[in-house]
Amino acid sequence: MAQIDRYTGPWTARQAAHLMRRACFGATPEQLATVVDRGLEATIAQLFADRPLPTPPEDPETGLQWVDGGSGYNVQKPVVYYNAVTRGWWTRLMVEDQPSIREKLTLFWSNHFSTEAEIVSSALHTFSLLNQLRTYALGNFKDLTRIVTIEPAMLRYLNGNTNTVGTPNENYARELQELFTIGKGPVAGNGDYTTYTEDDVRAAARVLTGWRENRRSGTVTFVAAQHDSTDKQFSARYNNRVIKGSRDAGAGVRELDELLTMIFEQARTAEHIVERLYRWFVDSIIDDTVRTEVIEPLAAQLRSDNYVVGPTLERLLSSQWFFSDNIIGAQLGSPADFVIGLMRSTTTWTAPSDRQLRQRFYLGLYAQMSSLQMTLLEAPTVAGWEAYYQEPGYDHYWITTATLPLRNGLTDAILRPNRVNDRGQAILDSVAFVETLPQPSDSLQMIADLNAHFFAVPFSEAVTMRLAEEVLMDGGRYYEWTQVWDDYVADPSTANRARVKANLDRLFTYLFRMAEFQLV
Amino acid sequence: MNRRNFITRTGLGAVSLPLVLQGIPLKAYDGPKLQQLFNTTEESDRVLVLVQLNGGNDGLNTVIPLDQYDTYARIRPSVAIPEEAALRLPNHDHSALHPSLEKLAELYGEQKLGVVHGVNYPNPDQSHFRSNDIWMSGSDANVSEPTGWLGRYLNTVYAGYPEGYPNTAMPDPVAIQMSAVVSLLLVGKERQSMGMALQDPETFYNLVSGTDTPGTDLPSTSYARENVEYVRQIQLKSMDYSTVIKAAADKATNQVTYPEANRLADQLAVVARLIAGGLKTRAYVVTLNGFDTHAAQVDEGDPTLGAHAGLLRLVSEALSAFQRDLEAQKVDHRVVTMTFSEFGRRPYSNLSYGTDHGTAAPMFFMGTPVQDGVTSTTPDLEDLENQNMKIRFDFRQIYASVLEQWFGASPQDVQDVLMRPYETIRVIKGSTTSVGTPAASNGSVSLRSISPNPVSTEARIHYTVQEHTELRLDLFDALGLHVRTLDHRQFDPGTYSTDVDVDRLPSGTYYVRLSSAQGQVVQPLVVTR
Repeated sequence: MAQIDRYTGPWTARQAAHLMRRACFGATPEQLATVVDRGLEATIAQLFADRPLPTPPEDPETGLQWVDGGSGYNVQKPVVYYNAVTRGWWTRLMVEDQPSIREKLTLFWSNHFSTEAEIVSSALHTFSLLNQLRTYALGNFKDLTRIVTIEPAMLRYLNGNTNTVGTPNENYARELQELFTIGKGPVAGNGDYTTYTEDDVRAAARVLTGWRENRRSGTVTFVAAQHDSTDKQFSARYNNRVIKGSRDAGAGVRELDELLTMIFEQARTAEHIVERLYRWFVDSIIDDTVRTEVIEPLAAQLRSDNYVVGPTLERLLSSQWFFSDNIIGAQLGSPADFVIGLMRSTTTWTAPSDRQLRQRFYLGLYAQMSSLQMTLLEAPTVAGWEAYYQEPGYDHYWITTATLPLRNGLTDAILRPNRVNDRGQAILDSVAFVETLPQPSDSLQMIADLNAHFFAVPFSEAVTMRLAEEVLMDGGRYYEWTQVWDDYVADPSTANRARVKANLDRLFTYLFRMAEFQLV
Repeated sequence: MNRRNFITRTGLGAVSLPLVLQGIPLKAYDGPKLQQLFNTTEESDRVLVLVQLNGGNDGLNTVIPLDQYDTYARIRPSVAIPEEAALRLPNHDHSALHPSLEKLAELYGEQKLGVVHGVNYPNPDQSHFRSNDIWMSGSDANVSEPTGWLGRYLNTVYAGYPEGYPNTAMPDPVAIQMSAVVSLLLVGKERQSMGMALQDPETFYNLVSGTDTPGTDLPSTSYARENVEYVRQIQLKSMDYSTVIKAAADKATNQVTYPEANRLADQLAVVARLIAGGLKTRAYVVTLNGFDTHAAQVDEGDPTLGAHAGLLRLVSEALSAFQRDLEAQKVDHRVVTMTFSEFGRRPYSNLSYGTDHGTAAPMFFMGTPVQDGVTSTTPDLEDLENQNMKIRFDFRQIYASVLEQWFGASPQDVQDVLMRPYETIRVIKGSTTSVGTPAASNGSVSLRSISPNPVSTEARIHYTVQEHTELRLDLFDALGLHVRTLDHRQFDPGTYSTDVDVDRLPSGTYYVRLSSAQGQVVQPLVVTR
C-alpha cells in the first residue's frame, strides 16, 4: 500500500489525539471521545469544513468594530494598541475555535507570507493581510499569492511600493521566488539557483514596478508612469520567457498574472509549498522516501487541482504515512502547540466575560508564545520561524536552554491561581480535571489516561508505576491513592480536597516537565 | 543534512579526558605560540565575542571610501554620506567612518580598532538565509554544511562535548549566545550545539534552580526517541550551568553605564559581567537585527540620519561601552570582538533611499589586542562584477587568522576546521605568518622578472609556465601577511605577465609568491615613495 493512501489501520485514542494535535493544537477529553467514535473520515470532513469567517475583532475599550470599514477605528490610539487587539482576538480564536484546521493553517500562511507588524506599522493593513490568509487558507495558493503581492502590508514590508522604473527595488521579487513560490534550489553557477537566477530576480522586480499604496486612504493602485514598460526577459530556468511590457493602466495586473503563471507552471513551485506544509503539519525531515512517496504525489495533485490547497492537505492528513508510528511524536511542539495546546486540552478554566479582562487574558497567552519565540504577526525575518527551514535543527530550534526553562515555568504556573482570570482560578485545576476521567481512584489507570491525553508517546509500565509511587504518592504505594481519593469523594471538605490537590499538583508539575511532554 | 543522524554520545569510548597541562605556567609565555608548539589544548582564558549585524550591513556607508569619493557619490546619490560629514581617521587618508561611529573612531585613535576591507565569500549568493548559513558554517557557496565554523573549532578543543562536560578543566559553558536560540555558527562536528542560549542570568537561574530531570525511559520509535534525548540534553545543560552562570553574573557588576534603549548594549553588558565574573566561556555571540535597509536607509534630505545611522550608533555606543567596561574590569587584554554581516549592500542606491543586497563589506575588530588600522584598500568602485564589489578577502581567511592568532590553533587544526588552508592576515598585534623561502623556479613555474623593482606605482611580473597547472599569485608584506591575491586560475604552458598595483601600499618590502601543486616561487618586491 502506498504511503499516501488513506489510512486504514486501527482507530484509537492514539490516532485521534495525534490528528487533533497536528490539525488544531489539541482537544478536550470529550472532543477526543467524539473523534474516536466518529472515525477518520467524518473527523477530516469536520476539520476541513468550509465555514464563514469569524466575527472581526472589536475594540475592547469601546466594543466597536474597527476593521473592514467599521466606524470604531480611533486614529488617536497607537498602532501597537490595535495590533494587540488583533493578537488577542486571534489567540482567542485559536483557543476557542471548534475542531477545525483553519487557525493552525492560517498560522502556517502567516509564517509563509511572513511580515512584521512593526515594519508594516498599520494595524488595518496587518489585519487585512491576516484576513486574506484566513479567507484563502484552504483555497487557491496562486490566487492568494497574487493577492498578497499587492496587499498594502506586503507592499510596505518588502518595499514593493517604492519599486520604480529605472531603479527597481528587488526585495519582493527575490522573496517571491526564494521563499513564497518556487523556492531556491542548489547553486548551479554564478547567480544561478537552479530554479531561477539573479537575472530573474531583476526581471521580476521590473515586472512588479508601479504598485503604490496611498498612505492616506490605504488603497492600492497601479501607477503606469512608474511601471517599467519594456519587455522582461527571463532566463532558461523559465524557458527564456519574455513578459511583454506596456504602459497602459492594465499592465500591472496583466504582467503580474503572467509572472505568476510562469512561476506556477514550474513543478518545483508545487513541490516547494507541499514541502512547507509537510514540515508544518508532519515532520521536518524530508528524505528520499518522503520525497517520492509523499511530496511528489501530493505536488502532482496540487497542480492538477490548479493549486487549490484543501484536497491536497486532506489527503496528507488522512494518509498511511501521517498515522505511521514514527510520525506520532516526531515533532517538538511549537510555542503555539505548547500554549494553545495546553488551553485546548484542559477543561477547568473559563475566560473572563468582561471584554477588557478577556482581551488581557488572551494577550497574556500571546505574550507567553512570544517569550517562547513565536510572536504572532511579527516574524523574526521574512523567512519566518527558523524551526521550519533551518538545518540541522528544524523544530529543535524551539527548545533551548533559554526557552525550555520558560516552558517549565509556564506549566508550573497554570496549576496556581491566575491573576488575569477574574475569579482568580488556576487554568488547570488538577482535582477538577481528574474528576472528568473515567477512573480517578485507580492511580495507574488515571496516569495512563493522562498519558494518552497529554502525550504523543506512551509510558512504559515501569514509568507509570514510578509516577504513581514516587511522584503522586511521594514515596508511598500506588494503591494507597485509592483510599486518599475515596476519602475525598466521600467527604469533599476543604482539607480533603487540599490533600488530593497537593498530590495531583505534584504529579502534573512532574508530567509537564517530562521531556516527552514537548513532543507532538 | 539529516538531523536524524544526530546521536547523543553515550558512555563507553566517548568519555573525553580533557588535556590539562598542569604544572606548566603557560601564561608566562605567549599562549597561542606555546600552544602551537605543544600542539594541544590549554586552559586558555582568551575570549572571542562575535557581533552579528543581521540583514546585510551597508559596508560602503559604514567605512566610506574617501579616495574614491566622487565615484561613490555618483553611484549612490540618494544615500551617499557627504564628504565633510565622514569621520576622518588619524594618519589615514583613504577610508573614513560613518558619522554615527564617533565612539569607534575614538577607539581607532587609541589603536583598539581594526578595519578589514572587502570581506565576503566567493560566488556570492544574495539570499539572506543562504548567506547567513555560509558565513556561519564557513562552507563554499555551493555547499550546504550543517555545522558551524566556530562550533567545529570549539569541538576540536573540547572533544566529545557534551559527554563528560562540565568538568574541572571546563566547568562553564563553552560558548554562549545571548538570545533564545543558538545559531548554526556554534553547531559542532557531531551536529551537537557547542553553545547555550541565555537571555538573562537571574531569570534563568530562578526557573532552573531546584528542578530535576524527570524520566530516563526512551520512546520506542526513533524520531520520538531522538526528540526526547534532545530535550533531556537541554534540561541537563540548563541545570549544569545555571549555578556557574549566576555566580559569575553576581560576582561582577558593570563598571560603566551602558547606553539605554540599545538592544546590543543590553546583551554586551551581560557578556562583560560574565567575563569579568570569571566564566571560562570561550566565545559569545550577540546579534543586532535590522540592517536590511532596502528603503529609508537614510532620511530624505539628510543622508547622515535615518535607519542605518541609528543602527550604527547603536553598534558604536554598545561596542565602546563594552570595551570601556572590560578595561575598567582589567580583562580587556583577554577579549577580542569581531563584527560580521551576511553581505554588504549594492554600491548603487535605489529610489527608496535604500540599497539592495550586495557582496563584499568591511569587518571590524575591536579590543586591546587587535591589530589596529585599516587592512587592504577600499573596494574598487570602477571594477564591479554584476554591479557588485569584488571581494578582497575570502571570509575564511579572517576565520583562519582569528583561530591561529587569537586562539592559537595549529595550522593543521585550522585547515581541518575550515576544510582547506587559507592565507592569514594580521588581526592580532604582533602576529606573523610565513611566506616561504625565496626561489626563482619550482620545475613547472619560473619567475623571470619583476619590473620595475623598486616600484612606486605599478610593477609587472613576468613568468613562465612549463606544464598545465593551477597557479596562484599572491602578494605578502614583510611580516608574511597576505596583502592580496593577484590571480588564481588554470594556466596552460606559456609566458605570462601580471600587473601589481602598489599605488596604495605603504613603502617597504613585499613578497610576490607563485604557488602551484609543484611548490612555491617567492621573490621580493620593494615599494618606495
